[in-house]
Amino acid sequence: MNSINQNRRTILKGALAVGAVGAVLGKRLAYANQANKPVWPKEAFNANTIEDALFKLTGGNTIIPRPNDILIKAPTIAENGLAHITIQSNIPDTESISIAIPNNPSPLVANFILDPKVSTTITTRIKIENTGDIVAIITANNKLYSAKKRMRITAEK
Amino acid sequence: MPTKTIEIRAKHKNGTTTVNALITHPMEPGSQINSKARIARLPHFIQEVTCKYKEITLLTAHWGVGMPKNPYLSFSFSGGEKGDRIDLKWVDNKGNSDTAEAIIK
Repeated sequence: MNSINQNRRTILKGALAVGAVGAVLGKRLAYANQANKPVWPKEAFNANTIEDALFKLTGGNTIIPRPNDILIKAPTIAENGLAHITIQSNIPDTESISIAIPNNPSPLVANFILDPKVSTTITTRIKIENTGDIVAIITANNKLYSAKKRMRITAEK
Repeated sequence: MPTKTIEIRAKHKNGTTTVNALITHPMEPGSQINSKARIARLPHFIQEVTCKYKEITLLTAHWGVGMPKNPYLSFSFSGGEKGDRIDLKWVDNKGNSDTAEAIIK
Protein backbone atom coordinates (compact mmCIF):
# COMPACT_ATOMS: atom_id res chain seq x y z
CA MET A 1 0.00 0.00 0.00
CA ASN A 2 2.76 2.32 0.98
CA SER A 3 4.77 1.74 -2.18
CA ILE A 4 1.71 2.30 -4.40
CA ASN A 5 1.13 5.62 -2.69
CA GLN A 6 4.76 6.54 -3.20
CA ASN A 7 4.47 5.73 -6.90
CA ARG A 8 1.33 7.74 -7.16
CA ARG A 9 3.12 10.69 -5.62
CA THR A 10 6.06 10.57 -7.99
CA ILE A 11 3.76 10.25 -10.98
CA LEU A 12 1.70 13.21 -9.80
CA LYS A 13 4.80 15.28 -9.16
CA GLY A 14 6.15 14.41 -12.59
CA ALA A 15 2.91 15.35 -14.27
CA LEU A 16 2.86 18.67 -12.42
CA ALA A 17 6.44 19.44 -13.42
CA VAL A 18 5.74 18.66 -17.10
CA GLY A 19 2.67 20.86 -16.94
CA ALA A 20 4.63 23.75 -15.49
CA VAL A 21 7.38 23.47 -18.11
CA GLY A 22 4.73 23.32 -20.83
CA ALA A 23 3.06 26.45 -19.53
CA VAL A 24 6.36 28.36 -19.46
CA LEU A 25 7.25 27.20 -22.97
CA GLY A 26 3.81 28.15 -24.22
CA LYS A 27 4.18 31.64 -22.80
CA ARG A 28 7.61 32.02 -24.39
CA LEU A 29 6.23 30.98 -27.77
CA ALA A 30 3.35 33.42 -27.46
CA TYR A 31 5.79 36.25 -26.76
CA ALA A 32 7.96 35.21 -29.70
CA ASN A 33 4.94 35.38 -32.01
CA GLN A 34 4.05 38.83 -30.77
CA ALA A 35 7.56 40.20 -31.22
CA ASN A 36 7.09 40.94 -34.92
CA LYS A 37 4.12 43.24 -34.68
CA PRO A 38 3.89 46.33 -32.47
CA VAL A 39 2.16 45.54 -29.19
CA TRP A 40 -0.11 48.00 -27.41
CA PRO A 41 2.26 49.84 -25.02
CA LYS A 42 0.39 49.27 -21.76
CA GLU A 43 2.98 50.94 -19.52
CA ALA A 44 3.07 54.11 -21.59
CA PHE A 45 -0.73 54.45 -21.50
CA ASN A 46 -0.76 53.87 -17.73
CA ALA A 47 1.96 56.44 -17.01
CA ASN A 48 1.04 59.50 -14.95
CA THR A 49 3.14 62.15 -16.70
CA ILE A 50 3.83 62.90 -20.35
CA GLU A 51 7.59 62.52 -19.85
CA ASP A 52 7.14 59.11 -18.25
CA ALA A 53 4.72 57.98 -20.96
CA LEU A 54 7.10 58.99 -23.74
CA PHE A 55 10.07 57.45 -22.00
CA LYS A 56 8.21 54.15 -21.88
CA LEU A 57 7.06 54.55 -25.45
CA THR A 58 10.29 55.59 -27.14
CA GLY A 59 13.05 55.50 -24.55
CA GLY A 60 13.74 59.18 -25.15
CA ASN A 61 14.18 61.45 -22.16
CA THR A 62 14.29 65.00 -23.40
CA ILE A 63 11.48 66.66 -25.30
CA ILE A 64 12.55 69.61 -27.42
CA PRO A 65 9.85 72.29 -27.88
CA ARG A 66 9.43 73.17 -31.56
CA PRO A 67 6.20 75.17 -31.75
CA ASN A 68 7.03 76.57 -35.20
CA ASP A 69 7.43 73.21 -36.93
CA ILE A 70 4.47 71.41 -35.44
CA LEU A 71 1.07 72.85 -36.24
CA ILE A 72 -1.93 71.98 -34.11
CA LYS A 73 -5.23 72.93 -35.62
CA ALA A 74 -7.86 72.84 -32.89
CA PRO A 75 -10.67 75.10 -31.79
CA THR A 76 -9.75 77.49 -28.94
CA ILE A 77 -13.12 76.96 -27.32
CA ALA A 78 -14.88 73.62 -27.25
CA GLU A 79 -18.33 73.39 -25.81
CA ASN A 80 -18.99 69.75 -25.12
CA GLY A 81 -15.51 68.38 -24.55
CA LEU A 82 -15.09 66.91 -28.02
CA ALA A 83 -12.55 68.45 -30.33
CA HIS A 84 -11.65 67.82 -33.93
CA ILE A 85 -7.90 68.31 -34.15
CA THR A 86 -5.32 68.22 -36.92
CA ILE A 87 -1.64 67.82 -36.22
CA GLN A 88 0.86 68.61 -38.94
CA SER A 89 4.56 68.01 -38.53
CA ASN A 90 7.10 69.81 -40.71
CA ILE A 91 10.02 68.00 -39.11
CA PRO A 92 11.87 65.71 -41.57
CA ASP A 93 11.78 61.93 -40.96
CA THR A 94 8.75 62.03 -38.71
CA GLU A 95 8.17 58.49 -37.50
CA SER A 96 5.29 58.88 -35.12
CA ILE A 97 2.82 61.43 -33.82
CA SER A 98 1.53 61.24 -30.25
CA ILE A 99 -1.25 63.22 -28.65
CA ALA A 100 -1.29 63.86 -24.91
CA ILE A 101 -3.44 65.85 -22.51
CA PRO A 102 -1.52 66.68 -19.30
CA ASN A 103 -4.74 67.13 -17.26
CA ASN A 104 -5.91 63.56 -17.88
CA PRO A 105 -5.17 60.91 -15.21
CA SER A 106 -3.30 59.02 -17.93
CA PRO A 107 -2.02 61.76 -20.23
CA LEU A 108 -1.20 59.73 -23.34
CA VAL A 109 -4.26 59.67 -25.59
CA ALA A 110 -3.04 58.27 -28.87
CA ASN A 111 0.10 57.31 -30.71
CA PHE A 112 0.21 57.06 -34.49
CA ILE A 113 3.12 55.18 -36.07
CA LEU A 114 3.54 56.28 -39.68
CA ASP A 115 5.02 54.63 -42.74
CA PRO A 116 7.40 56.93 -44.72
CA LYS A 117 4.74 57.02 -47.48
CA VAL A 118 2.20 58.62 -45.20
CA SER A 119 2.06 62.39 -45.03
CA THR A 120 2.76 63.78 -41.57
CA THR A 121 -0.72 65.16 -41.03
CA ILE A 122 -3.23 63.35 -38.86
CA THR A 123 -6.80 64.42 -38.21
CA THR A 124 -8.75 62.86 -35.39
CA ARG A 125 -11.24 63.59 -32.66
CA ILE A 126 -10.28 63.71 -29.01
CA LYS A 127 -12.07 64.02 -25.71
CA ILE A 128 -11.02 66.97 -23.54
CA GLU A 129 -13.05 67.48 -20.40
CA ASN A 130 -11.29 70.38 -18.66
CA THR A 131 -9.64 73.57 -19.85
CA GLY A 132 -5.99 72.89 -20.52
CA ASP A 133 -3.28 72.10 -23.02
CA ILE A 134 -3.14 69.60 -25.83
CA VAL A 135 0.41 68.44 -26.46
CA ALA A 136 1.58 66.95 -29.73
CA ILE A 137 4.83 64.99 -29.63
CA ILE A 138 6.72 64.03 -32.77
CA THR A 139 9.36 61.33 -32.90
CA ALA A 140 11.98 61.87 -35.59
CA ASN A 141 15.50 60.39 -35.73
CA ASN A 142 15.16 59.13 -32.13
CA LYS A 143 14.47 62.64 -30.89
CA LEU A 144 11.28 64.03 -29.43
CA TYR A 145 9.77 67.34 -30.43
CA SER A 146 6.68 68.89 -28.97
CA ALA A 147 4.18 71.69 -29.40
CA LYS A 148 1.14 72.58 -27.38
CA LYS A 149 -2.09 74.46 -27.70
CA ARG A 150 -4.43 75.64 -24.97
CA MET A 151 -8.10 74.84 -25.25
CA ARG A 152 -10.91 76.32 -23.21
CA ILE A 153 -13.86 74.12 -22.32
CA THR A 154 -16.97 76.13 -21.57
CA ALA A 155 -19.29 73.37 -20.36
CA GLU A 156 -17.16 71.68 -17.70
CA LYS A 157 -18.46 68.49 -16.18
CA MET B 1 -22.77 46.59 -31.41
CA PRO B 2 -23.89 46.98 -35.02
CA THR B 3 -22.73 44.40 -37.50
CA LYS B 4 -20.77 46.95 -39.53
CA THR B 5 -18.56 49.04 -37.27
CA ILE B 6 -16.20 50.71 -39.74
CA GLU B 7 -17.11 53.39 -42.22
CA ILE B 8 -14.10 53.91 -44.47
CA ARG B 9 -13.57 55.99 -47.59
CA ALA B 10 -10.47 56.53 -49.68
CA LYS B 11 -10.11 59.15 -52.38
CA HIS B 12 -7.29 59.70 -54.83
CA LYS B 13 -6.36 63.16 -56.05
CA ASN B 14 -3.15 64.52 -57.61
CA GLY B 15 -0.94 61.64 -56.51
CA THR B 16 -2.10 61.41 -52.92
CA THR B 17 -4.79 59.25 -51.41
CA THR B 18 -6.80 60.46 -48.44
CA VAL B 19 -8.32 57.88 -46.12
CA ASN B 20 -11.21 58.75 -43.79
CA ALA B 21 -12.45 56.25 -41.25
CA LEU B 22 -15.17 56.35 -38.63
CA ILE B 23 -15.43 53.47 -36.19
CA THR B 24 -18.55 52.76 -34.15
CA HIS B 25 -17.37 51.77 -30.69
CA PRO B 26 -18.45 52.73 -27.12
CA MET B 27 -14.84 53.57 -26.07
CA GLU B 28 -15.80 53.20 -22.41
CA PRO B 29 -13.05 54.68 -20.20
CA GLY B 30 -14.22 52.81 -17.10
CA SER B 31 -15.46 54.13 -13.78
CA GLN B 32 -12.02 55.40 -12.78
CA ILE B 33 -12.64 58.54 -14.82
CA ASN B 34 -16.44 58.67 -14.68
CA SER B 35 -16.71 58.73 -10.88
CA LYS B 36 -20.36 59.81 -10.89
CA ALA B 37 -21.45 56.37 -12.04
CA ARG B 38 -22.47 54.23 -9.09
CA ILE B 39 -21.86 50.96 -10.86
CA ALA B 40 -18.23 50.25 -11.55
CA ARG B 41 -17.78 50.09 -15.30
CA LEU B 42 -14.93 48.23 -16.85
CA PRO B 43 -12.88 49.96 -19.53
CA HIS B 44 -13.74 48.89 -23.05
CA PHE B 45 -11.81 50.69 -25.74
CA ILE B 46 -9.97 50.19 -29.00
CA GLN B 47 -6.28 49.63 -28.46
CA GLU B 48 -4.93 49.22 -31.93
CA VAL B 49 -5.94 50.33 -35.41
CA THR B 50 -3.94 49.30 -38.44
CA CYS B 51 -4.36 50.43 -42.00
CA LYS B 52 -2.81 48.43 -44.83
CA TYR B 53 -2.29 49.07 -48.51
CA LYS B 54 -0.70 46.34 -50.67
CA GLU B 55 0.83 44.52 -47.66
CA ILE B 56 2.42 47.76 -46.38
CA THR B 57 1.23 48.89 -42.97
CA LEU B 58 0.65 52.56 -43.61
CA LEU B 59 -0.45 53.47 -40.14
CA THR B 60 -0.56 51.84 -36.74
CA ALA B 61 -2.51 53.75 -34.14
CA HIS B 62 -2.39 52.89 -30.46
CA TRP B 63 -5.22 54.46 -28.53
CA GLY B 64 -5.88 54.92 -24.84
CA VAL B 65 -9.00 55.66 -22.84
CA GLY B 66 -8.75 59.36 -23.77
CA MET B 67 -10.21 58.75 -27.21
CA PRO B 68 -13.91 59.57 -27.50
CA LYS B 69 -16.86 57.39 -28.40
CA ASN B 70 -17.06 56.56 -32.12
CA PRO B 71 -13.52 57.64 -32.97
CA TYR B 72 -12.65 59.30 -36.27
CA LEU B 73 -9.36 59.18 -38.12
CA SER B 74 -8.09 60.79 -41.28
CA PHE B 75 -4.71 60.67 -42.99
CA SER B 76 -3.24 60.72 -46.47
CA PHE B 77 -0.39 58.99 -48.23
CA SER B 78 1.50 59.46 -51.48
CA GLY B 79 0.64 56.89 -54.13
CA GLY B 80 -2.36 54.66 -54.43
CA GLU B 81 -4.45 54.27 -57.56
CA LYS B 82 -8.13 54.26 -58.29
CA GLY B 83 -9.54 50.77 -57.84
CA ASP B 84 -6.88 49.66 -55.31
CA ARG B 85 -7.85 48.26 -51.95
CA ILE B 86 -7.28 49.71 -48.48
CA ASP B 87 -7.74 47.51 -45.40
CA LEU B 88 -8.49 48.72 -41.90
CA LYS B 89 -8.57 46.65 -38.75
CA TRP B 90 -9.23 47.47 -35.10
CA VAL B 91 -8.70 45.41 -31.96
CA ASP B 92 -10.08 46.38 -28.54
CA ASN B 93 -9.00 45.43 -25.02
CA LYS B 94 -11.60 42.64 -24.81
CA GLY B 95 -10.13 41.01 -27.87
CA ASN B 96 -12.97 41.98 -30.20
CA SER B 97 -11.95 43.10 -33.64
CA ASP B 98 -13.36 44.08 -36.99
CA THR B 99 -11.98 44.65 -40.46
CA ALA B 100 -13.22 46.65 -43.41
CA GLU B 101 -11.95 47.43 -46.85
CA ALA B 102 -12.38 50.38 -49.16
CA ILE B 103 -11.76 50.75 -52.85
CA ILE B 104 -9.89 53.96 -53.70
CA LYS B 105 -12.11 56.28 -55.73
